[in-house]
Amino acid sequence: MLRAVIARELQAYWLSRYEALQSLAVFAVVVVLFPLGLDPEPTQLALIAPAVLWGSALLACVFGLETLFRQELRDGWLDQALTGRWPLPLLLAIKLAVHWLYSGAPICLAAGAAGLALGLSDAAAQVAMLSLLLGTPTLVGLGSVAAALTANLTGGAMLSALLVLPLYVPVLVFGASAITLAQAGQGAQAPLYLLGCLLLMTLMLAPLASAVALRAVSE
Amino acid sequence: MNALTRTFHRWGSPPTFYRFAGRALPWLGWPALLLLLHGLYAGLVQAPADYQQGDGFRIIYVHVPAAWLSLFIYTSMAVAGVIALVWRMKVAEVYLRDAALAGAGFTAVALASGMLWGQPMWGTWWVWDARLTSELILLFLYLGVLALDQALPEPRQAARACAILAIVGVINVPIVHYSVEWWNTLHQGSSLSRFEKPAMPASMYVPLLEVALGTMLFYGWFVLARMRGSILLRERRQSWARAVAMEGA
Amino acid sequence: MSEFLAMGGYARYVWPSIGLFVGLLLWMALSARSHHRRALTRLRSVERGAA
Repeated sequence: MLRAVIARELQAYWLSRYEALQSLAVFAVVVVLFPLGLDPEPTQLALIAPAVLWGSALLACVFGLETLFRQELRDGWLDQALTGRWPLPLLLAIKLAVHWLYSGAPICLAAGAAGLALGLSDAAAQVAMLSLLLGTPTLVGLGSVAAALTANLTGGAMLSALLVLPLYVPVLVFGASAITLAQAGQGAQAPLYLLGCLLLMTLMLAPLASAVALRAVSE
Repeated sequence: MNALTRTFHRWGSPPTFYRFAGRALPWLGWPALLLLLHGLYAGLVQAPADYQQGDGFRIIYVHVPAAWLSLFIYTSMAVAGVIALVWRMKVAEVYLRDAALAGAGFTAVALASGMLWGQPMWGTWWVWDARLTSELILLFLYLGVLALDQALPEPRQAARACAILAIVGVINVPIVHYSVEWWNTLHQGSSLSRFEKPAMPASMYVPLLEVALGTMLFYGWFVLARMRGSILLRERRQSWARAVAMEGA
Repeated sequence: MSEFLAMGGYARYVWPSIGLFVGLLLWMALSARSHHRRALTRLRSVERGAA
Protein backbone atom coordinates (compact mmCIF):
# COMPACT_ATOMS: atom_id res chain seq x y z
CA MET A 1 0.00 0.00 0.00
CA LEU A 2 2.68 2.39 1.06
CA ARG A 3 4.59 1.41 -2.03
CA ALA A 4 1.67 2.72 -4.08
CA VAL A 5 1.89 6.05 -2.28
CA ILE A 6 5.60 6.31 -3.03
CA ALA A 7 5.06 5.30 -6.65
CA ARG A 8 2.35 7.91 -7.09
CA GLU A 9 4.57 10.59 -5.64
CA LEU A 10 7.49 9.63 -7.86
CA GLN A 11 5.20 9.59 -10.86
CA ALA A 12 3.79 13.02 -10.07
CA TYR A 13 7.29 14.46 -9.95
CA TRP A 14 8.29 12.62 -13.10
CA LEU A 15 5.38 14.21 -14.95
CA SER A 16 6.53 17.70 -13.94
CA ARG A 17 10.23 16.85 -14.04
CA TYR A 18 11.21 19.87 -16.10
CA GLU A 19 9.73 22.18 -13.52
CA ALA A 20 11.32 20.24 -10.67
CA LEU A 21 14.74 20.40 -12.29
CA GLN A 22 14.55 24.19 -12.44
CA SER A 23 16.22 24.33 -9.01
CA LEU A 24 19.31 22.88 -10.59
CA ALA A 25 19.22 25.53 -13.31
CA VAL A 26 18.76 28.30 -10.75
CA PHE A 27 21.71 26.93 -8.78
CA ALA A 28 23.92 26.93 -11.86
CA VAL A 29 22.90 30.43 -12.93
CA VAL A 30 23.48 31.94 -9.49
CA VAL A 31 26.90 30.28 -9.23
CA VAL A 32 27.85 31.76 -12.59
CA LEU A 33 26.82 35.27 -11.50
CA PHE A 34 29.58 35.55 -8.90
CA PRO A 35 32.65 35.17 -11.12
CA LEU A 36 31.04 37.60 -13.56
CA GLY A 37 30.67 40.17 -10.80
CA LEU A 38 34.20 39.67 -9.54
CA ASP A 39 37.74 39.55 -10.77
CA PRO A 40 37.84 35.93 -12.01
CA GLU A 41 41.24 35.34 -10.39
CA PRO A 42 41.24 31.64 -9.35
CA THR A 43 42.65 32.27 -5.87
CA GLN A 44 40.06 34.95 -5.18
CA LEU A 45 37.24 32.78 -6.49
CA ALA A 46 38.35 29.85 -4.34
CA LEU A 47 38.18 32.14 -1.32
CA ILE A 48 34.50 32.90 -1.84
CA ALA A 49 33.57 29.54 -3.39
CA PRO A 50 32.15 28.06 -0.13
CA ALA A 51 29.80 31.02 0.33
CA VAL A 52 28.87 31.01 -3.38
CA LEU A 53 28.06 27.30 -3.48
CA TRP A 54 26.00 27.37 -0.30
CA GLY A 55 24.31 30.68 -1.02
CA SER A 56 23.27 29.43 -4.45
CA ALA A 57 22.03 26.16 -2.95
CA LEU A 58 19.92 28.07 -0.40
CA LEU A 59 18.37 30.23 -3.11
CA ALA A 60 17.70 27.32 -5.44
CA CYS A 61 16.06 25.46 -2.57
CA VAL A 62 13.89 28.44 -1.59
CA PHE A 63 12.68 28.88 -5.17
CA GLY A 64 11.78 25.20 -5.31
CA LEU A 65 9.58 25.43 -2.24
CA GLU A 66 6.79 27.16 -4.07
CA THR A 67 5.89 24.02 -6.01
CA LEU A 68 5.89 21.83 -2.93
CA PHE A 69 2.22 22.09 -1.93
CA ARG A 70 0.69 24.18 -4.72
CA GLN A 71 -0.75 21.38 -6.80
CA GLU A 72 -1.66 19.40 -3.68
CA LEU A 73 -3.95 22.08 -2.36
CA ARG A 74 -5.52 22.63 -5.74
CA ASP A 75 -6.47 19.04 -6.47
CA GLY A 76 -7.65 18.11 -2.99
CA TRP A 77 -4.65 15.93 -2.13
CA LEU A 78 -4.62 17.34 1.38
CA ASP A 79 -8.26 16.50 2.10
CA GLN A 80 -7.64 12.95 0.96
CA ALA A 81 -4.49 12.73 3.02
CA LEU A 82 -6.21 14.00 6.14
CA THR A 83 -8.94 11.38 5.89
CA GLY A 84 -6.75 8.61 4.46
CA ARG A 85 -5.30 5.64 6.28
CA TRP A 86 -1.71 6.91 6.40
CA PRO A 87 -0.66 9.54 8.91
CA LEU A 88 -0.01 12.91 7.29
CA PRO A 89 3.60 13.20 8.60
CA LEU A 90 4.49 9.93 6.88
CA LEU A 91 2.98 11.08 3.58
CA LEU A 92 4.83 14.37 3.92
CA ALA A 93 8.11 12.59 4.66
CA ILE A 94 7.69 10.66 1.39
CA LYS A 95 6.79 13.82 -0.48
CA LEU A 96 9.81 15.65 0.90
CA ALA A 97 12.14 12.79 0.05
CA VAL A 98 10.92 12.79 -3.54
CA HIS A 99 11.13 16.58 -3.69
CA TRP A 100 14.73 16.36 -2.49
CA LEU A 101 15.48 13.74 -5.11
CA TYR A 102 14.53 16.23 -7.82
CA SER A 103 15.76 19.49 -6.28
CA GLY A 104 18.52 18.68 -3.76
CA ALA A 105 20.27 15.67 -5.23
CA PRO A 106 21.04 17.25 -8.64
CA ILE A 107 22.53 20.26 -6.83
CA CYS A 108 24.79 17.98 -4.77
CA LEU A 109 26.11 16.41 -7.95
CA ALA A 110 26.52 19.73 -9.74
CA ALA A 111 28.31 21.30 -6.78
CA GLY A 112 31.41 19.19 -7.37
CA ALA A 113 31.86 20.51 -10.89
CA ALA A 114 30.89 24.03 -9.85
CA GLY A 115 33.43 23.92 -7.01
CA LEU A 116 36.22 22.87 -9.34
CA ALA A 117 35.25 25.66 -11.75
CA LEU A 118 35.48 28.11 -8.88
CA GLY A 119 39.02 26.97 -8.19
CA LEU A 120 38.50 24.60 -5.28
CA SER A 121 40.93 21.74 -4.77
CA ASP A 122 39.74 18.20 -5.51
CA ALA A 123 39.42 17.43 -1.81
CA ALA A 124 37.44 20.60 -1.16
CA ALA A 125 35.12 19.91 -4.09
CA GLN A 126 34.43 16.47 -2.66
CA VAL A 127 33.70 17.98 0.75
CA ALA A 128 31.42 20.49 -0.99
CA MET A 129 29.39 17.64 -2.46
CA LEU A 130 29.32 15.81 0.85
CA SER A 131 28.30 18.88 2.83
CA LEU A 132 25.47 19.60 0.38
CA LEU A 133 24.41 15.97 0.55
CA LEU A 134 24.08 16.31 4.32
CA GLY A 135 22.71 19.86 4.24
CA THR A 136 20.17 20.06 1.42
CA PRO A 137 17.69 17.61 3.04
CA THR A 138 17.69 19.91 6.07
CA LEU A 139 16.97 22.85 3.78
CA VAL A 140 14.06 20.99 2.19
CA GLY A 141 12.70 19.93 5.59
CA LEU A 142 12.81 23.39 7.15
CA GLY A 143 11.52 24.87 3.90
CA SER A 144 8.54 22.58 3.87
CA VAL A 145 7.34 24.09 7.17
CA ALA A 146 7.47 27.57 5.66
CA ALA A 147 5.89 26.34 2.42
CA ALA A 148 3.07 24.76 4.40
CA LEU A 149 2.46 27.94 6.40
CA THR A 150 2.16 29.98 3.20
CA ALA A 151 0.50 27.30 1.09
CA ASN A 152 -2.84 29.08 0.92
CA LEU A 153 -1.49 32.47 -0.02
CA THR A 154 -1.15 33.82 -3.52
CA GLY A 155 2.36 35.14 -3.79
CA GLY A 156 3.46 33.19 -0.76
CA ALA A 157 6.86 32.45 -2.31
CA MET A 158 8.38 35.74 -1.19
CA LEU A 159 6.99 35.34 2.30
CA SER A 160 8.19 31.78 2.66
CA ALA A 161 11.67 32.93 1.61
CA LEU A 162 11.58 35.54 4.37
CA LEU A 163 10.41 32.97 6.90
CA VAL A 164 12.91 30.30 6.05
CA LEU A 165 16.18 32.03 5.15
CA PRO A 166 16.98 33.05 8.76
CA LEU A 167 16.42 29.44 9.79
CA TYR A 168 18.97 28.33 7.20
CA VAL A 169 21.82 30.16 8.90
CA PRO A 170 23.29 27.19 10.83
CA VAL A 171 23.29 24.99 7.72
CA LEU A 172 25.01 27.73 5.75
CA VAL A 173 27.61 28.28 8.47
CA PHE A 174 28.52 24.63 8.95
CA GLY A 175 28.33 23.76 5.26
CA ALA A 176 30.48 26.64 4.09
CA SER A 177 32.98 26.12 6.93
CA ALA A 178 33.43 22.51 5.95
CA ILE A 179 34.45 23.58 2.43
CA THR A 180 36.70 26.35 3.76
CA LEU A 181 38.48 23.93 6.11
CA ALA A 182 38.92 21.37 3.34
CA GLN A 183 40.29 24.01 1.00
CA ALA A 184 42.81 25.00 3.68
CA GLY A 185 43.86 21.36 3.91
CA GLN A 186 42.41 20.87 7.36
CA GLY A 187 39.98 18.23 8.54
CA ALA A 188 36.35 19.08 7.85
CA GLN A 189 34.84 16.37 10.07
CA ALA A 190 33.54 18.66 12.81
CA PRO A 191 31.18 20.78 10.67
CA LEU A 192 30.13 17.71 8.70
CA TYR A 193 29.13 15.92 11.90
CA LEU A 194 27.21 19.01 12.98
CA LEU A 195 25.42 19.06 9.63
CA GLY A 196 24.58 15.40 10.23
CA CYS A 197 23.07 16.29 13.62
CA LEU A 198 20.93 18.99 12.03
CA LEU A 199 19.89 16.50 9.37
CA LEU A 200 18.77 13.95 11.95
CA MET A 201 16.83 16.56 13.90
CA THR A 202 15.13 17.78 10.73
CA LEU A 203 14.28 14.27 9.58
CA MET A 204 12.48 13.66 12.85
CA LEU A 205 10.77 17.01 13.30
CA ALA A 206 10.15 18.53 9.86
CA PRO A 207 7.42 16.14 8.64
CA LEU A 208 5.60 16.54 11.96
CA ALA A 209 5.89 20.33 11.95
CA SER A 210 4.82 20.54 8.30
CA ALA A 211 1.79 18.38 9.03
CA VAL A 212 0.75 20.61 11.93
CA ALA A 213 1.30 23.68 9.76
CA LEU A 214 -0.73 22.32 6.83
CA ARG A 215 -3.57 21.46 9.19
CA ALA A 216 -3.44 24.87 10.83
CA VAL A 217 -3.72 26.83 7.60
CA SER A 218 -6.27 24.61 5.88
CA GLU A 219 -8.83 24.51 8.68
CA MET B 1 -2.69 19.81 39.72
CA ASN B 2 -6.39 20.38 39.99
CA ALA B 3 -5.97 23.95 41.17
CA LEU B 4 -3.41 24.50 38.43
CA THR B 5 -5.71 23.33 35.64
CA ARG B 6 -8.51 25.37 37.09
CA THR B 7 -6.43 28.56 37.10
CA PHE B 8 -5.32 27.70 33.61
CA HIS B 9 -8.86 27.42 32.34
CA ARG B 10 -10.00 30.52 34.12
CA TRP B 11 -7.22 32.58 32.55
CA GLY B 12 -8.00 31.01 29.23
CA SER B 13 -11.51 32.35 29.22
CA PRO B 14 -11.54 35.78 27.52
CA PRO B 15 -13.94 37.63 29.88
CA THR B 16 -12.06 36.52 33.00
CA PHE B 17 -8.76 37.34 31.42
CA TYR B 18 -10.04 40.76 30.44
CA ARG B 19 -11.12 41.51 33.99
CA PHE B 20 -8.01 40.11 35.69
CA ALA B 21 -5.71 41.88 33.25
CA GLY B 22 -7.50 45.13 33.91
CA ARG B 23 -6.94 44.67 37.62
CA ALA B 24 -3.30 43.66 37.18
CA LEU B 25 -2.38 46.65 35.01
CA PRO B 26 -1.66 49.20 37.78
CA TRP B 27 0.35 46.61 39.71
CA LEU B 28 2.65 46.28 36.71
CA GLY B 29 2.60 49.81 35.34
CA TRP B 30 3.47 51.85 38.42
CA PRO B 31 6.33 49.69 39.73
CA ALA B 32 7.68 49.60 36.16
CA LEU B 33 7.63 53.38 35.91
CA LEU B 34 9.35 53.82 39.30
CA LEU B 35 12.00 51.19 38.57
CA LEU B 36 12.72 52.60 35.13
CA LEU B 37 12.99 56.19 36.35
CA HIS B 38 15.16 55.33 39.33
CA GLY B 39 17.27 52.80 37.43
CA LEU B 40 17.98 55.18 34.55
CA TYR B 41 18.74 58.02 36.97
CA ALA B 42 21.08 55.85 39.02
CA GLY B 43 22.71 54.44 35.91
CA LEU B 44 23.17 57.68 34.02
CA VAL B 45 23.94 60.04 36.90
CA GLN B 46 25.04 58.19 40.02
CA ALA B 47 27.02 55.20 38.74
CA PRO B 48 30.75 55.91 38.35
CA ALA B 49 32.24 56.04 34.89
CA ASP B 50 33.91 52.84 33.70
CA TYR B 51 37.69 52.96 33.99
CA GLN B 52 38.12 51.66 30.45
CA GLN B 53 35.12 52.96 28.56
CA GLY B 54 34.40 56.17 30.45
CA ASP B 55 30.81 57.30 30.21
CA GLY B 56 30.33 55.30 27.01
CA PHE B 57 29.58 52.19 29.04
CA ARG B 58 26.28 53.75 30.16
CA ILE B 59 24.70 52.43 26.95
CA ILE B 60 24.63 49.13 28.83
CA TYR B 61 21.62 50.38 30.81
CA VAL B 62 19.42 50.26 27.71
CA HIS B 63 21.28 47.79 25.52
CA VAL B 64 21.25 44.83 27.90
CA PRO B 65 17.60 45.14 29.03
CA ALA B 66 16.49 45.43 25.41
CA ALA B 67 18.54 42.39 24.42
CA TRP B 68 17.21 40.35 27.34
CA LEU B 69 13.64 41.28 26.54
CA SER B 70 14.10 40.42 22.86
CA LEU B 71 15.12 36.87 23.80
CA PHE B 72 12.59 36.54 26.60
CA ILE B 73 9.70 37.63 24.38
CA TYR B 74 10.62 35.23 21.61
CA THR B 75 10.82 32.35 24.07
CA SER B 76 7.51 33.33 25.64
CA MET B 77 5.96 33.41 22.17
CA ALA B 78 7.04 29.82 21.61
CA VAL B 79 5.54 28.80 24.97
CA ALA B 80 2.32 30.60 24.08
CA GLY B 81 2.50 28.90 20.69
CA VAL B 82 2.53 25.46 22.29
CA ILE B 83 -0.43 26.44 24.49
CA ALA B 84 -2.29 27.85 21.49
CA LEU B 85 -1.71 24.74 19.39
CA VAL B 86 -2.29 22.08 22.04
CA TRP B 87 -5.11 23.59 24.12
CA ARG B 88 -6.38 26.05 21.49
CA MET B 89 -6.48 28.78 24.09
CA LYS B 90 -7.65 32.06 22.61
CA VAL B 91 -5.70 34.18 25.07
CA ALA B 92 -2.44 32.53 23.98
CA GLU B 93 -3.29 33.22 20.33
CA VAL B 94 -3.86 36.87 21.07
CA TYR B 95 -0.62 37.02 23.08
CA LEU B 96 1.44 35.79 20.12
CA ARG B 97 0.40 38.59 17.85
CA ASP B 98 0.75 41.40 20.35
CA ALA B 99 4.05 40.15 21.76
CA ALA B 100 5.71 39.98 18.34
CA LEU B 101 5.37 43.72 17.88
CA ALA B 102 7.13 44.55 21.17
CA GLY B 103 9.73 41.85 20.57
CA ALA B 104 10.68 43.27 17.19
CA GLY B 105 10.93 46.72 18.79
CA PHE B 106 13.25 45.56 21.57
CA THR B 107 15.38 43.63 19.09
CA ALA B 108 15.74 46.70 16.90
CA VAL B 109 16.69 48.86 19.89
CA ALA B 110 19.19 46.26 21.13
CA LEU B 111 20.81 46.22 17.69
CA ALA B 112 20.85 50.00 17.30
CA SER B 113 22.26 50.59 20.78
CA GLY B 114 24.79 47.82 20.19
CA MET B 115 25.95 49.62 17.06
CA LEU B 116 26.07 52.94 18.90
CA TRP B 117 28.19 51.23 21.55
CA GLY B 118 30.41 49.55 19.00
CA GLN B 119 31.32 52.70 17.13
CA PRO B 120 33.34 54.35 19.96
CA MET B 121 34.60 51.07 21.45
CA TRP B 122 35.55 49.08 18.36
CA GLY B 123 35.85 52.01 15.98
CA THR B 124 33.20 50.59 13.67
CA TRP B 125 29.42 50.48 13.57
CA TRP B 126 29.21 46.82 12.89
CA VAL B 127 31.36 43.82 13.62
CA TRP B 128 30.32 40.29 12.80
CA ASP B 129 30.35 39.50 16.47
CA ALA B 130 28.45 36.38 17.43
CA ARG B 131 26.00 38.18 19.67
CA LEU B 132 25.26 41.04 17.30
CA THR B 133 24.82 38.64 14.39
CA SER B 134 22.43 36.35 16.25
CA GLU B 135 20.46 39.38 17.38
CA LEU B 136 20.15 40.46 13.75
CA ILE B 137 18.88 37.03 12.80
CA LEU B 138 16.42 37.21 15.69
CA LEU B 139 15.15 40.45 14.16
CA PHE B 140 14.56 38.63 10.88
CA LEU B 141 12.69 35.90 12.76
CA TYR B 142 10.45 38.53 14.35
CA LEU B 143 9.88 40.19 10.97
CA GLY B 144 8.89 36.79 9.59
CA VAL B 145 6.28 36.32 12.32
CA LEU B 146 4.91 39.83 11.75
CA ALA B 147 4.79 39.33 7.97
CA LEU B 148 3.06 35.97 8.31
CA ASP B 149 0.55 37.48 10.71
CA GLN B 150 -0.17 40.27 8.22
CA ALA B 151 -0.49 37.91 5.27
CA LEU B 152 -3.06 35.51 6.70
CA PRO B 153 -6.46 37.16 6.72
CA GLU B 154 -8.19 34.96 9.28
CA PRO B 155 -6.97 35.81 12.83
CA ARG B 156 -7.26 32.29 14.19
CA GLN B 157 -5.29 30.85 11.30
CA ALA B 158 -2.72 33.61 11.51
CA ALA B 159 -2.19 32.98 15.22
CA ARG B 160 -1.75 29.24 14.73
CA ALA B 161 0.66 29.76 11.85
CA CYS B 162 2.67 32.23 13.92
CA ALA B 163 2.69 29.73 16.78
CA ILE B 164 4.30 27.07 14.58
CA LEU B 165 6.83 29.54 13.24
CA ALA B 166 7.72 30.71 16.75
CA ILE B 167 8.23 27.13 17.94
CA VAL B 168 10.41 26.22 14.96
CA GLY B 169 12.29 29.48 15.48
CA VAL B 170 12.91 28.92 19.16
CA ILE B 171 14.48 25.53 18.47
CA ASN B 172 16.63 27.30 15.93
CA VAL B 173 17.76 30.29 18.00
CA PRO B 174 20.30 28.43 20.17
CA ILE B 175 21.59 26.57 17.11
CA VAL B 176 21.96 29.85 15.24
CA HIS B 177 23.80 31.36 18.19
CA TYR B 178 26.10 28.36 18.53
CA SER B 179 26.80 28.21 14.82
CA VAL B 180 27.56 31.91 14.59
CA GLU B 181 29.86 31.72 17.59
CA TRP B 182 31.63 28.76 16.06
CA TRP B 183 31.96 30.59 12.75
CA ASN B 184 33.25 33.63 14.61
CA THR B 185 36.05 31.80 16.39
CA LEU B 186 36.94 30.05 13.16
CA HIS B 187 37.35 33.24 11.18
CA GLN B 188 38.31 36.05 13.51
CA GLY B 189 40.04 34.50 16.46
CA SER B 190 39.85 36.70 19.52
CA SER B 191 40.96 39.94 17.90
CA LEU B 192 37.51 41.50 18.06
CA SER B 193 35.99 39.78 21.05
CA ARG B 194 34.11 41.83 23.60
CA PHE B 195 35.86 43.60 26.42
CA GLU B 196 36.63 41.32 29.29
CA LYS B 197 34.34 42.63 31.96
CA PRO B 198 35.85 42.75 35.40
CA ALA B 199 33.37 42.33 38.24
CA MET B 200 31.12 45.39 38.29
CA PRO B 201 30.64 47.27 41.56
CA ALA B 202 27.12 47.31 42.96
CA SER B 203 26.64 50.97 42.07
CA MET B 204 26.97 49.87 38.43
CA TYR B 205 24.98 46.65 38.30
CA VAL B 206 22.11 47.47 40.65
CA PRO B 207 20.79 50.17 38.25
CA LEU B 208 21.13 47.64 35.43
CA LEU B 209 19.00 45.14 37.31
CA GLU B 210 16.48 47.88 38.10
CA VAL B 211 16.13 48.92 34.48
CA ALA B 212 15.93 45.28 33.38
CA LEU B 213 13.21 44.46 35.90
CA GLY B 214 11.39 47.70 35.12
CA THR B 215 11.47 46.93 31.40
CA MET B 216 10.16 43.44 32.06
CA LEU B 217 7.26 44.77 34.17
CA PHE B 218 6.59 47.48 31.61
CA TYR B 219 6.45 44.85 28.90
CA GLY B 220 3.96 42.92 31.03
CA TRP B 221 1.86 46.05 31.33
CA PHE B 222 2.08 46.70 27.59
CA VAL B 223 1.16 43.22 26.52
CA LEU B 224 -1.77 42.93 28.93
CA ALA B 225 -3.09 46.35 27.95
CA ARG B 226 -2.82 45.60 24.26
CA MET B 227 -4.27 42.12 24.61
CA ARG B 228 -7.32 43.60 26.32
CA GLY B 229 -8.00 45.62 23.20
CA SER B 230 -7.35 42.70 20.87
CA ILE B 231 -9.58 40.38 22.91
CA LEU B 232 -12.44 42.87 22.89
CA LEU B 233 -12.16 43.16 19.11
CA ARG B 234 -12.05 39.42 18.64
CA GLU B 235 -15.00 38.78 20.93
CA ARG B 236 -16.99 41.74 19.71
CA ARG B 237 -20.02 39.60 18.94
CA GLN B 238 -20.10 38.09 22.44
CA SER B 239 -22.45 39.58 24.97
CA TRP B 240 -19.74 40.06 27.62
CA ALA B 241 -17.63 42.20 25.30
CA ARG B 242 -20.63 44.32 24.36
CA ALA B 243 -21.48 44.75 28.03
CA VAL B 244 -17.90 45.82 28.79
CA ALA B 245 -17.97 48.35 25.99
CA MET B 246 -21.23 49.87 27.15
CA GLU B 247 -20.18 50.01 30.83
CA GLY B 248 -18.09 53.13 30.50
CA ALA B 249 -20.12 54.81 27.77
CA MET C 1 24.64 69.87 34.00
CA SER C 2 26.47 70.48 30.73
CA GLU C 3 29.14 68.08 31.94
CA PHE C 4 26.44 65.47 32.49
CA LEU C 5 24.99 66.08 29.04
CA ALA C 6 28.43 65.75 27.47
CA MET C 7 28.77 62.19 28.88
CA GLY C 8 32.54 62.45 28.92
CA GLY C 9 32.62 62.92 25.15
CA TYR C 10 30.30 59.98 24.47
CA ALA C 11 27.14 62.11 24.17
CA ARG C 12 26.86 61.27 20.45
CA TYR C 13 26.47 57.61 21.30
CA VAL C 14 24.86 57.52 24.72
CA TRP C 15 21.94 59.88 24.18
CA PRO C 16 20.66 58.38 20.91
CA SER C 17 20.69 54.93 22.56
CA ILE C 18 18.75 56.16 25.57
CA GLY C 19 16.44 58.09 23.25
CA LEU C 20 15.67 55.05 21.14
CA PHE C 21 14.94 52.94 24.21
CA VAL C 22 12.73 55.54 25.88
CA GLY C 23 11.08 56.27 22.55
CA LEU C 24 10.22 52.60 22.12
CA LEU C 25 8.73 52.44 25.63
CA LEU C 26 6.68 55.60 24.98
CA TRP C 27 5.44 54.25 21.67
CA MET C 28 4.49 50.99 23.35
CA ALA C 29 2.59 52.84 26.10
CA LEU C 30 0.70 55.02 23.63
CA SER C 31 -0.06 52.19 21.22
CA ALA C 32 -1.38 49.91 23.97
CA ARG C 33 -3.71 52.61 25.26
CA SER C 34 -4.95 53.71 21.85
CA HIS C 35 -5.42 50.11 20.76
CA HIS C 36 -7.71 49.46 23.71
CA ARG C 37 -9.56 52.73 23.22
CA ARG C 38 -10.08 52.02 19.51
CA ALA C 39 -11.52 48.62 20.35
CA LEU C 40 -13.95 50.17 22.83
CA THR C 41 -15.06 52.87 20.36
CA ARG C 42 -15.61 50.33 17.65
CA LEU C 43 -17.73 48.11 19.88
CA ARG C 44 -19.72 51.10 21.08
CA SER C 45 -20.44 52.32 17.58
CA VAL C 46 -21.66 48.84 16.64
CA GLU C 47 -23.88 48.73 19.74
CA ARG C 48 -25.33 52.14 18.98
CA GLY C 49 -25.95 51.13 15.39
CA ALA C 50 -27.81 48.05 16.60
CA ALA C 51 -29.82 49.96 19.19
